[in-house]
Amino acid sequence: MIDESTVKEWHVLVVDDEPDSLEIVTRILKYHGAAVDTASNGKSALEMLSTLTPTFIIMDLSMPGMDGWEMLFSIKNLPTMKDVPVVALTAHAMKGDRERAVGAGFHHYLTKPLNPISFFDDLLALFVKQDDNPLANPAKGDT
Amino acid sequence: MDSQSGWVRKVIAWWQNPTLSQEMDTTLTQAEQAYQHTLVRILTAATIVITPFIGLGYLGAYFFVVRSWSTLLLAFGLFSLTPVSWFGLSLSRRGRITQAVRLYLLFLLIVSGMLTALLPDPLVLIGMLVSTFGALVSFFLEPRRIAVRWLVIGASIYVAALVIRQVFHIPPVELGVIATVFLYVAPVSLFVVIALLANSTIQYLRSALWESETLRSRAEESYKQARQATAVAIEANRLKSEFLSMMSHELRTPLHAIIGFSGVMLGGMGGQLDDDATHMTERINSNSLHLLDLINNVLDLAKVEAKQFEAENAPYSPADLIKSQFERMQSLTQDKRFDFHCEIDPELPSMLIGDKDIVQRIITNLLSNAFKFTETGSVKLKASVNSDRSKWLLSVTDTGIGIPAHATEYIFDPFRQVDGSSSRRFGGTGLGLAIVKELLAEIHGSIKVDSTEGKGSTFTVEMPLIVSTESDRLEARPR
Repeated sequence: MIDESTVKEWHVLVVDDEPDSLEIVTRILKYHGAAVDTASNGKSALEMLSTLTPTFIIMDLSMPGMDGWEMLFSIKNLPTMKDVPVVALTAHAMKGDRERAVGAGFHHYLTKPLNPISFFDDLLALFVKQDDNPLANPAKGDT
Repeated sequence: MDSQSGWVRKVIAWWQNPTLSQEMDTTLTQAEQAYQHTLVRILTAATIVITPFIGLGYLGAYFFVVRSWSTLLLAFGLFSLTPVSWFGLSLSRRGRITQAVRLYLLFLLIVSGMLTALLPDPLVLIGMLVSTFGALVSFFLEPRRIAVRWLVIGASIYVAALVIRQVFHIPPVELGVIATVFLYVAPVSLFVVIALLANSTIQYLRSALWESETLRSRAEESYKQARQATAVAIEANRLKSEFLSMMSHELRTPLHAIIGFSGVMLGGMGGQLDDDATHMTERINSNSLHLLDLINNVLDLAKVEAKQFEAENAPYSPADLIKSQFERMQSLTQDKRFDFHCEIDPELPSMLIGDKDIVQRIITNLLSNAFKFTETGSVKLKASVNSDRSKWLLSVTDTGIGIPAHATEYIFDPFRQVDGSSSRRFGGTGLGLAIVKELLAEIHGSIKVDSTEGKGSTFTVEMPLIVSTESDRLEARPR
């Protein structure tokens, strides 16, 4: 059984250029009691990360300006962010994107459109500590 | 003879008015040279062989018929033609055809001048004069100016010969008219005939060359046009696919918002909904999911058609894949009135090499298709291996409305259903089977359908069976 109470301790940064998508993710997370910060582009997300250390980051891959791939690189270069998992969220799931994303250093890869229930279940499976939680062995073997 | 290719060019320009390519010009010049070369060789060789016999004839006449010095002179004159011809032959072998021909003709004129001076019959002599000149201008294609010069030389020799004959009262060589004609006119006539034949051959060659050139240029033009048309078609297809792919992406973005928000509402994350509102939100959610499915199908087809889809070859477990697809699709049959089974042949190897995603899409599309057209009865998904273990088969059998025989030809075409009313009654874009067919083409598979109208259909997919070995499996482990 997954203990949902730890969700209350989550502080999630959501980065997406589409306001609707941002709102949907925010609503799901907030509904379950997590604290959420949002950024609509890579630049403002990086600014926020200078003062904030979230539990994990959910990030759209295709954004104008700095896209998700570049963002991941910049985030991983921040000394405080080394151990913060970044989850990719994208609308066009091309073949091989999942492998590419995990290979690039994303903690996990989720696709749009998101089903609010399964989306949250996935997050629980990823980030709530339990004995056989894939968090200990992030994303690998879970594709 | 450079002047000749110029002459040929003019004739052809006047004759058919084509623009000769450089290549054809070269070919024609080569043919001309070959023709002249051959002709000169025939003439000189014939002269080398024939004239000694004629000379011998005169020598015989000197000894047995008329013992006059003029007969002897004529005999040696004829003998002298042989070494001259020999020299002409060697000249022509060294490529100096013009010189060879001119030397030969000059000597021929001198010998016939001798004949004019020595023979009694002037008619024969005039015939020789004319035929020599005719041969000269007609068949060696000399420019007119040079031909006239030759005429003057020839005429001077004849006149000189006639004068010598009158002044010196040379004793005539009497051989009779028939012998004279045979001995003097025949070789020249032979020469004329050979030249005529050669000339008509070269004319034929020219026209054949011209025709082949015309055909070639026409073929080239058709090829160019075909290539342009292909390029245009390819470009149009690419643009179409690009457009579809872009549109699909643009259409999906707002759909994601609709699906996401209705999902949030259904999950109670946006406040409690009453039953009516829940029902309507469910409809919004399921319809938008359906719409997304259609758009995804269009995008898939566009991708496959644009050849942006590359089949991969990786080990996977077909049984696991089929089971997971079966379970996933089972959730869609909850409110249906038919049974849904799955049967996997134990012979099916546990690991295969192939493209898992493609197989999954094929299963999904075939099952969606069966579900769409089946009201009651059953839908069965079956996996098996063929008798020689070269292929494995996936079949979906339903007890749906079936397909009329005439429609089995086109149900695999994009946007085609059995008839227009199907799409109204059963929904769908008519893309599912088209996608299956295109995907199968990528993995060298095939599909066939066996159906009875009103009873149901069986779609059978055949795919190459490539069994994964242990080493493949090790490689495929997640890194």
